[in-house]
Amino acid sequence: MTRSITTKFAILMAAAAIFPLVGYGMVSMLSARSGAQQAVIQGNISVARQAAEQIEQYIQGNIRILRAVAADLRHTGLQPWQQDRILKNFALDFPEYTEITLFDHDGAPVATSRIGRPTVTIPGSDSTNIGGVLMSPFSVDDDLLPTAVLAVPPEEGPGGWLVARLNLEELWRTVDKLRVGEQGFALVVTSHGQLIAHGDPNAKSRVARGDSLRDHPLIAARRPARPEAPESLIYPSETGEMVGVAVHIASLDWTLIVEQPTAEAFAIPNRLEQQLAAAVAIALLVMVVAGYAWARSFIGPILRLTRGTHALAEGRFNERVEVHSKDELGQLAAAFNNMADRIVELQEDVRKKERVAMFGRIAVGLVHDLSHPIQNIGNHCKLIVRIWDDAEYRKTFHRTIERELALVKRVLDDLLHIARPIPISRAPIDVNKELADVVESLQAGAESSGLTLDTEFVFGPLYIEGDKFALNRVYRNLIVNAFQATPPHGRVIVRTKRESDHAVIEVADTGCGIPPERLRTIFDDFYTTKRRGLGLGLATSKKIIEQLGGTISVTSTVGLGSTFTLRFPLTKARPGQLAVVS
Amino acid sequence: MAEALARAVHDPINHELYWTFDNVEGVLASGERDLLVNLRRATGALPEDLSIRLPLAHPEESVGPYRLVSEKDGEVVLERFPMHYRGKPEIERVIIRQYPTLRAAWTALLRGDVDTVDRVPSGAVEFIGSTRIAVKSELHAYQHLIAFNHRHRLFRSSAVRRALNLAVDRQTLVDSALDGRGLPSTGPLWPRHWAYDSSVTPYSFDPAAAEALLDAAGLPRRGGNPNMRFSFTCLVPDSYRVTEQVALEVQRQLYAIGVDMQFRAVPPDAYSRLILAGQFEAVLGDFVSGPTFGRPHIFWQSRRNPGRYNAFGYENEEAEQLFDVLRSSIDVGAIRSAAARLQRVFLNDPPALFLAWSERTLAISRDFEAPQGIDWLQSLWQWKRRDNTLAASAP
Repeated sequence: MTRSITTKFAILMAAAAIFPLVGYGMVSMLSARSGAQQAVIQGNISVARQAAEQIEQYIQGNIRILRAVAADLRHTGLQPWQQDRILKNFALDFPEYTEITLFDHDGAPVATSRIGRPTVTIPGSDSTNIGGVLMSPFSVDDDLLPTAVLAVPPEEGPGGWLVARLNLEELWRTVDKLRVGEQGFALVVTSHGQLIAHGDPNAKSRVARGDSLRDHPLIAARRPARPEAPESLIYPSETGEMVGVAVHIASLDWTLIVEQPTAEAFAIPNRLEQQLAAAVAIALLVMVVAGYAWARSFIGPILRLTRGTHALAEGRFNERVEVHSKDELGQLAAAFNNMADRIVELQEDVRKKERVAMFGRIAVGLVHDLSHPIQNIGNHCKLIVRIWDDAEYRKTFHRTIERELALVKRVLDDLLHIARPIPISRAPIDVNKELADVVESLQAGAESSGLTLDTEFVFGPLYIEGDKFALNRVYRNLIVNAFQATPPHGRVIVRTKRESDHAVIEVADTGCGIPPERLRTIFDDFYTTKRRGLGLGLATSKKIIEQLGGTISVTSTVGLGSTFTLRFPLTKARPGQLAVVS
Repeated sequence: MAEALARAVHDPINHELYWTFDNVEGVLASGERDLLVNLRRATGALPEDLSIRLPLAHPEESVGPYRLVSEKDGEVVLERFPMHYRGKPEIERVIIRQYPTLRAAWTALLRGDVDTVDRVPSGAVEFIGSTRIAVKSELHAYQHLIAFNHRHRLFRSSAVRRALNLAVDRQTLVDSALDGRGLPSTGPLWPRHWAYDSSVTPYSFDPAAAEALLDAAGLPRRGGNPNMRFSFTCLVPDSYRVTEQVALEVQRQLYAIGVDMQFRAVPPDAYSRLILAGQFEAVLGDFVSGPTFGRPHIFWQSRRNPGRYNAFGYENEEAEQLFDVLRSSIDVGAIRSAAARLQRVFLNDPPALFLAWSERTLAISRDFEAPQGIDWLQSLWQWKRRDNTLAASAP
């Protein structure tokens, strides 16, 4: 019970903390997660935008350079060998251009930066128009370098197409440099879904293969209506869940994607979540432990008071409660100790009074039980002196003296047997026969008291292991008590029964009955409902019965009468032979 | 084995490529593991030349760490030779495949079809390395140079050749044309040869001195537009990006001193044929030039010597004598001294416009451990891998 209270206290305190803490924790975690994820996505979008601008500027810058060359060639009226020299120098000064070739209107090469034959051709219908300059689809050349062909049309060119092969290594470098965390990379996808740059060195073979990323979630999710709007998605991939952002490079119609494993991108919010969860858990644990400790300290005095009351209940009156606090519990403990002191005093008083009462009852009982035989002995002694010669009277005297002395001895024996076991001998006896003898001997007494003494014996003998004389005393005591409790014209019935392997004897009367509150103590020493006497009859009877392995009980209704029931185990032994013990 | 070595030594092609084989009279077996090489004259450089492929009679024989198992359709299969004198190689089998392009080879490497790709172009090096692939670059005993036809009037003058060597900024060339992956070169001798004298002062980039030399040689600017001193045509193989870049850079730098170098781009087979036929004024190429002194000797020995590769017509008596010392001497001091003198001879009378030693780059799966600083073919027997199988490729 006390443990339960302590535990309840701890749970109460923890519960009082749990709901606000858990609530706060969940709200904080959700808020932190959402905020941090948005911050990561916005950061990645910002990085992607910057990279997209760099790429756009890189391409646009190269287009401007090519246009400038075209303008130079157009306006200066150079000879073909001079144009050739300019183109070669240009290719050396701008290594991004691996080849620049000037074509005439018919598509024949006029001048080239190449030593051998030109390898570039004027881009076809699959090219992208970037402000009037055509750009061919991206490709990776045999030396594993990314290229695209740019062509300035004749309107801007020096009388023909100026076509250049642009080395896009710088695009790759820009994308390679773009790292988000340790595992976040950028990739560039054309409007046709062609992967043209990938920041992950292990994924470059996909660029060489010309992999299509049309099915990439960010490409598939692109909104044609608002291509400039950045996209962000969380999607599964071969290497785990990714968070990706996409930025559209409008002038090139390319899309730059920055993707990063969510495990890395959201590592900080995840760690914060874990820390917050740990903090909440620790706080809860502390609350539970504190609640338990506080409950223990609070309950301690109550526990000591409980132990004190148990001690008092168990009769250990010297125990006191040690509570030194000055609060209500301390006052309660002090009151308890005072009460215990008082109980000890009262008990001592009660004990003294009981002793006095007991001595009184014993004295009165002894006087009652012994005065009559002593009186008889005295009277007969006086009479014998006078009529000594009467031989008949001397016999009567002798019988009377013996009987009265036997009575005195019995009283003294009863007193003696309060403290010592009654000497008992065991032998197979027939309960019916013994009871019949006792009833017959008391029949005269019943008639003189105006009572009817009946017997209702079971058929046949009931053999038990018993002491004939001791049991006769028990029967006699119960029947005489019934006489004394039954008014004239009443009835006393002695019954015997056989119940299973037990013999049952009942002595019932139609007397005044015994109040319920007295039934519990009716077999105690010195208890009597009679006005005089030691009250040892039923106590002695109970001892004898229990020494013989039997039981005695009583049922009574005030005004209707009482029934005493004796039960003894039946024996298979018979008088004159040893008991068969099974 | 003795017979195989004798056949190799007396092979006419090997005679042209290995300068010491002329001196070998015969090869005899002198014991279970010993060969006796009889020489006509002392030839200290012979051991360097013995790194050759032997025409072994039995396929189970080998003198190196691996033996040839098959050679078919451009695929070479090698198996380790457990009796290799330096120890049994870790890798049991090596397959060498050829791919038409680096892209094809690289894709095969990333797919795991091959474990290493040789001769990665310098421009692609920075994009190939990854967590799965390492890139190793080593200086290669080949150099870019413009070899002159010494029979041509212009190039008979050593002053002209010196002037052209002074006119080139080699570091700029290495940076722009080779993506910084190379070493400026001013002579034909391999700078990492043990006898190379690094104290010999190489050419510096001095266009003014170059112009002065040309003026002194009677080759002034002729006025007009363009204002050139002279013009010559250089043979170049077409379809080689790096060679073209080198050519354009050198062309521009020579243009600055009034030398107009024009190009004639031809396919590789025509390129070789024209060279051997002597039909050129100058040749730009990536020429073997080491690691032994015998390699430059192939090209720069006296034109009077028999052979096809001294087609450039270089003739320098002192150089010839010093080459002979380097070939025959067994004295370390004499070899060092001859090497230093030969370096100076080539500075004074350069047979070519030496440009830059190139780097050779190998992309290799990180599953392997390969020793650093050694040519991968030379060190293959020291490579380690878990399953002891290696597939290699060469684009």
